[in-house]
Amino acid sequence: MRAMSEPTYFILASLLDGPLHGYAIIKRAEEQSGGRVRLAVGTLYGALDRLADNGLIAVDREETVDGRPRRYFTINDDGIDAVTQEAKRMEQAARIVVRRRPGTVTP
Amino acid sequence: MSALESTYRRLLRTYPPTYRREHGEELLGTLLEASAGRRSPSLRETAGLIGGGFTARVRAVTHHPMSWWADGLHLGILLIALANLAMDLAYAYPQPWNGYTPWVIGSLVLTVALVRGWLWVALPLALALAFPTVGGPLLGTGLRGVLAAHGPVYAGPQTWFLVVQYLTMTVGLIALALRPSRELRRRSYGWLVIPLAVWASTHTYTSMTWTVRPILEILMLAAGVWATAAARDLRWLMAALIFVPASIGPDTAVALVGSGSPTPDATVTWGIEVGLTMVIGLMALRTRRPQA
Repeated sequence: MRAMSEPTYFILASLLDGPLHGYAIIKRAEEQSGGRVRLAVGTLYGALDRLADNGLIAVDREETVDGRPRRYFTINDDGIDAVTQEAKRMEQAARIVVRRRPGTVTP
Repeated sequence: MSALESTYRRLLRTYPPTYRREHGEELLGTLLEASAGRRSPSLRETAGLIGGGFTARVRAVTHHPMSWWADGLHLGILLIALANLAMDLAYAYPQPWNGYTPWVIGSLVLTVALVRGWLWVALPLALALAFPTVGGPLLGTGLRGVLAAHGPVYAGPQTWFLVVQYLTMTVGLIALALRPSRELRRRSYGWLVIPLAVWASTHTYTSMTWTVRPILEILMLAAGVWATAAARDLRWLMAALIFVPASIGPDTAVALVGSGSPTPDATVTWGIEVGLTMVIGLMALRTRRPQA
């Protein structure tokens, strides 16, 4: 399985606690990534469309705020599986480095 | 309406009209929230909207009911016709009316028919243009002599260049006509800007045309790489597999049999075109990866 891109990972991770609208996903992804992932709006909605087409997320509901529509996106079971697998892959990769004692080098 | 909102509305025009109707106001609301305190869009948001708009247009293409192979075949044939028209237009300059005028008009009408998806105009016209092109070299000098006045090139490697191209277009259009659903995609007249731009940059049938054409082909193939990366769909690979062999195949064959030799420039062009086609193929095969 190929690695998931970092923006995709944080978009999916941002939805694990419940449905969010576009701007909330941008803020949550930025917070959870320590400021590394700053999604442009055009990039975000392109990714949301693709993830919805791939069956990883879906539209939960639509509201109107200040006269403008706002969709709330929710992660589904396939999305949870995908982001969980990616987290395990990264954890396994990180463990190789983190478990070593500082300063030790394998000959 | 603020200046920022006006700018965003203009940038949102990169998205297809259907997408703007359904989600334009939502994107605008999110953009204004994300840009609170700003008076003009950041470079990042601008690039994101242009990229997002292109991606949305590409994705809209894949939602058309026409099958991917038929749409790719149609696009490949259209690319051949556009590239030919770019050169054919030079025959109408500086004297619009001359012996080649029927050929130029035929090439123009064929290209317009392919752009607009008029299969029953394009097919007979392609057959009519293919007959002297293919018939001349294959059937002998008698027929060539009769029809030569209406075709641009009937000698040397360029003969086979045209033969392969018109055979590809004709056979492809027959295949499209044999489908149960004969509907073709209707594309924007904006496609005609491509040959007009090439023609305007050359004005006359000089070596400049042969410089611009490879650049045009490489740019179109590069757009195919981007489109395939955005939509992960096979239709642009299909189009490239139709267009590239018809474009570089005849010259390659001539070089291989020893009756001609490719110049270093031509070799580089062929290498780039084949390489870009392979990249399109690799992009198309990576269909299952969710990406942002």
